[in-house]
Amino acid sequence: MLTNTKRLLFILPTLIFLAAAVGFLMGLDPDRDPSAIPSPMIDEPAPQISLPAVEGLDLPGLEPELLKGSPVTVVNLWASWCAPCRIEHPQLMTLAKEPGVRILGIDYKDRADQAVKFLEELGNPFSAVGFDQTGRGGIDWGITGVPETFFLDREGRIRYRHVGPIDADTLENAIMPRLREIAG
Amino acid sequence: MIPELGHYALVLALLVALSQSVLPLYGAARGAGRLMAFADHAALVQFLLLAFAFAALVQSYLVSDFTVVNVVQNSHSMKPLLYKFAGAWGNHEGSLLLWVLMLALFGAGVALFGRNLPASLRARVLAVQALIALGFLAFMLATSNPFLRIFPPPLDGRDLNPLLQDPGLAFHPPLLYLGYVGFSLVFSFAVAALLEGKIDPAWARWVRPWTLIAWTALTAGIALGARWAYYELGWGGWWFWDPVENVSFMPWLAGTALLHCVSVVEKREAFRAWTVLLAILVFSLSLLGTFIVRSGLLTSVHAFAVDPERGVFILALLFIAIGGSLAIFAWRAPALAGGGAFMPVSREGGLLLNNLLLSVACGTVLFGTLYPLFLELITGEVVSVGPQFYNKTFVPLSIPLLVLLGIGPFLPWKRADLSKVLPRLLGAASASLAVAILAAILLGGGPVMAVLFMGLAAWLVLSSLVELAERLRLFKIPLRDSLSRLTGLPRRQWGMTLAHAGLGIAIAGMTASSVWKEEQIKTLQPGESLEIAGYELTLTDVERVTGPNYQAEQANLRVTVEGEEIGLLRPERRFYPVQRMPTTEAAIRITVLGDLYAVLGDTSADPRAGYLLRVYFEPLVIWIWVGTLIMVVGGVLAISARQPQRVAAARRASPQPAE
Repeated sequence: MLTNTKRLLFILPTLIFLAAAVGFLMGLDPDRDPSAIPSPMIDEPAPQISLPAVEGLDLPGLEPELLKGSPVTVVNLWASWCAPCRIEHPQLMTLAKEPGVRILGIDYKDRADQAVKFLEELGNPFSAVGFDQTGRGGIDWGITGVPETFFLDREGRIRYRHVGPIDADTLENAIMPRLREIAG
Repeated sequence: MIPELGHYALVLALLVALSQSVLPLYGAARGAGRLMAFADHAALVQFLLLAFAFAALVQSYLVSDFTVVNVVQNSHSMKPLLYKFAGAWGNHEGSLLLWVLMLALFGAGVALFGRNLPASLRARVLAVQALIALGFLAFMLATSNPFLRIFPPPLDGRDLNPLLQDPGLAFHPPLLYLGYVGFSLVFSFAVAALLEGKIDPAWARWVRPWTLIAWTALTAGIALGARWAYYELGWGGWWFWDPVENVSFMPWLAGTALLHCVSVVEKREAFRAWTVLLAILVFSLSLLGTFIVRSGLLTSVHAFAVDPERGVFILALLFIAIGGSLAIFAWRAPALAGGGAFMPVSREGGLLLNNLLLSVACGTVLFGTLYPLFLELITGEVVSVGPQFYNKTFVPLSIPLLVLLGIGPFLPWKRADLSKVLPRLLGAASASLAVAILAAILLGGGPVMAVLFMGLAAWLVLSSLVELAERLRLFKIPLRDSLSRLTGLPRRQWGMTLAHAGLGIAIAGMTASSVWKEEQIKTLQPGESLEIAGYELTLTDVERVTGPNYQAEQANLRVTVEGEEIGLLRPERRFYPVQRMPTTEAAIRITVLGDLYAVLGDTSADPRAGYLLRVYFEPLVIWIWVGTLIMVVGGVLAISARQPQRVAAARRASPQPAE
């Protein structure tokens, strides 16, 4: 005759699996985003740095006070040498037409004349562009590469971060809902 | 037309799977021979139908049929032919079809080569196999049909993810699936045996070759995956404890445990309930892997596109397959207790410890993989479990396992005398110690753990060689007699020796390349150079090259040692316009002592800014690939071993020191 403990031992694998299965079912919640690795920058004030204007470009440089005030401020790190930035650019042009959105650029490790040519060719969505020749600004913003885009609320806090180029699809389905949320 | 035929073949396969699962089970319960025999024919028909469906999909890829959604999403007319071919299984739907095809392949294998199995056992095995196929075919047709059409067809496709455009893709997934799915057959054998209520040495003899096939394929598949990560991802690493890597590693650990305890059932009839449970768990872990990769439950670089609906469907399949088989286990297995008695110090005792350690190691990987998910569900906190966790749990756990691995083969069944066994290993142990010290001196010190593992690597190789030498009675009888023993050695014996020694070689490579890796990151102008591990790399120039479906910048690096030119490294940075994705192509110079690995980083258009180069020196990396290859060769030799009955006869003919 088997003792009850021994019988329980044989049932144990089933019980453990059932518990895990409940967890898996909860994990499949469509609202959960497993790839959302929390950035330490989220909900923190944006880095307060000044960057000079791009030589030959008729726009002011980046100043800390520009990061506040607009319902949504978008900070885009880009460069003329970066091919994905070229792909992303039309989406920035669309964003620039949104009411209540101010787009600031940080021109990362670039050449001024190339940057000017880039914007002449593809259009200018920015109201100010800081020239970050040394890459110091990129370090302060904690970027992993260009392009990278940050979305700030009226108080100048970082509310959302997008790594890599924003394509038309991402703009429509991921960025626009976020903008409305940030603008409140 | 061809895609529709493929689609119909899938529907027919579903119907065949349905009848293949129901009729033989009923027949086996009633003892109706004809119904049982139906399983054989059904298994073959199902394989042919799925082979046809798979061929239809491959055909659609080869001719770039952009009326098929799956081809549009994963192919491009400009893609090289090899990747059109391999692209057929480089996506969720196609890989699922490959998965089911493998499932049917194993079923057909049993129908063709399992003639010596009792009719009822064979019928039940094939029925359980068909139940698994039924679930996956229903899943495929309901949520992941690879043959869906699109109208109007686009002019060209969206191309395959550039990271997957690598020759490794052609072999890595099929081998991995051969492993995962191979364990499905072991699972079917376990469930069928529970239904039969009989597990004996004969059962173990039938299960063993299939376990070996799955294990060997999985070993090769994981090694290829690690190799792909090594040269394609451009980080100079080969294993990242990423969830998708872990879910292939867990079935390997559990499968290794299974391989060892099946032989205990075969020889001594002990551990029967445990062996059956392990057989169920190995395949459950494979299924769990499928679920994690395809449901978006955890994030990973390897994961497929995510669809929550699919996740729920696979979870339901998981629930039925794993929950159902474990329930049958809880119901029928208590009758299986008992078996041959043995002392704690014996071959059985050693294998018990081996199984315990492998299971705990597998458990830590499972814990590390699922912990972030469960923590998030319970507390809402988001964490990620990194290599530090595994370095502190899995790595120390493997130390007693590796020590034991050297001793185990010397232990006789039933009872062993350590005072007789250990002196035979004294030579191997002291030589391993010497190797560890030598490694520490040669490689310039390092953490104690790393030196220990170099010693353990040597221990595995040397103890395997000592064991082999004892079998050959080397230096005890004339050399010529030893040589004739060498050729007469059973292949199963070769399998064990090679697998153990291969693991040792691979561990040496893993340890050295993780611990003594050197790294240099520097921005170079043409004409400038950097130094690493005694090599001097000079950037001569950077040129633009155009591939079939990408553009690239290629750096030319001249490699010199003490002023003498020994070669050229050409790392590339590619951009794939269709997928709008940049990739790095590392340039690697392979030597026995270590790889020189160069990656071209982000470059700016400004020539004054120079080019960012990351260069690594990775000691002994090639040992990992050679070691795993030796393990795979060992597996293949053991699979090709003669029938167990004849091996048993041969065993009696040649006296063996350990048994």
